[in-house]
Amino acid sequence: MKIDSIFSQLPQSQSVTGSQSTGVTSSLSGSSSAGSSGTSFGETLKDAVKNVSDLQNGADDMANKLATGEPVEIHQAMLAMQKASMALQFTVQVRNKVLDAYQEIMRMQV
Amino acid sequence: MGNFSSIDISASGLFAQRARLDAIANNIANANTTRTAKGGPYRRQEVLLRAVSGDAGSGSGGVAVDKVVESTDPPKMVYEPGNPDADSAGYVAMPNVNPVQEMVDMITATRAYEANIQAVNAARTMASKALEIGKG
Repeated sequence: MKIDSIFSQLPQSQSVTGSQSTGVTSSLSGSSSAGSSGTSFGETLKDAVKNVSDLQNGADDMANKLATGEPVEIHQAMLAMQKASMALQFTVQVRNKVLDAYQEIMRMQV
Repeated sequence: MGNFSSIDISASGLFAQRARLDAIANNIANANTTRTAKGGPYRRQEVLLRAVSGDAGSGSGGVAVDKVVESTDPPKMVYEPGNPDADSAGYVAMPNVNPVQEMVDMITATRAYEANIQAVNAARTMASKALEIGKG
């Protein structure tokens, strides 16, 4: 299922934000290393959003099939919708965290 | 182990119970059927379920419909000399479907379906609780 890949992405995104913050602290403390190797946060978020979008499309598709009388089990459609909604909630939560981190940095006195 | 693995497992359970209900509906619908493609009266169908291999927590597992078997119980012999399907002694072989047993099976299938839905809801609650980590 594609949803698994979003969740495998998300810890990555957390570690990206985590390593960014350590990058900031380490550059504050005078170290030269900043930022991290690996996929950029933008890419990760894009992938995550794409996966959520895929799930939503799948759920839409299921609902359509159900409405047009194609042989789809009701519980399959409901579960697809539920998964899509959970994935969306998860992504929104990660986005909130990232935005919080960003705003925290932006509030820094210069 | 994906975050939705328990939901997928419950989905297989929901599917299995639907299959059982299909068989029960078929049995009740054919409770008086004396003619089948294979000849003879309808025989009660039963769904055999098989566990999908996989350790709990590994992300796999679930249940699958192994096969649908026909009951080997002897047909009910009903004395109905006027029936075109009656044998020389006047007995008609009626399906070996017991409506009481079908009703009880229907109850267990319905309740098992509900139990699987409860498991889905529990998984969903756990996931949304996990999203509350660090809140407030």
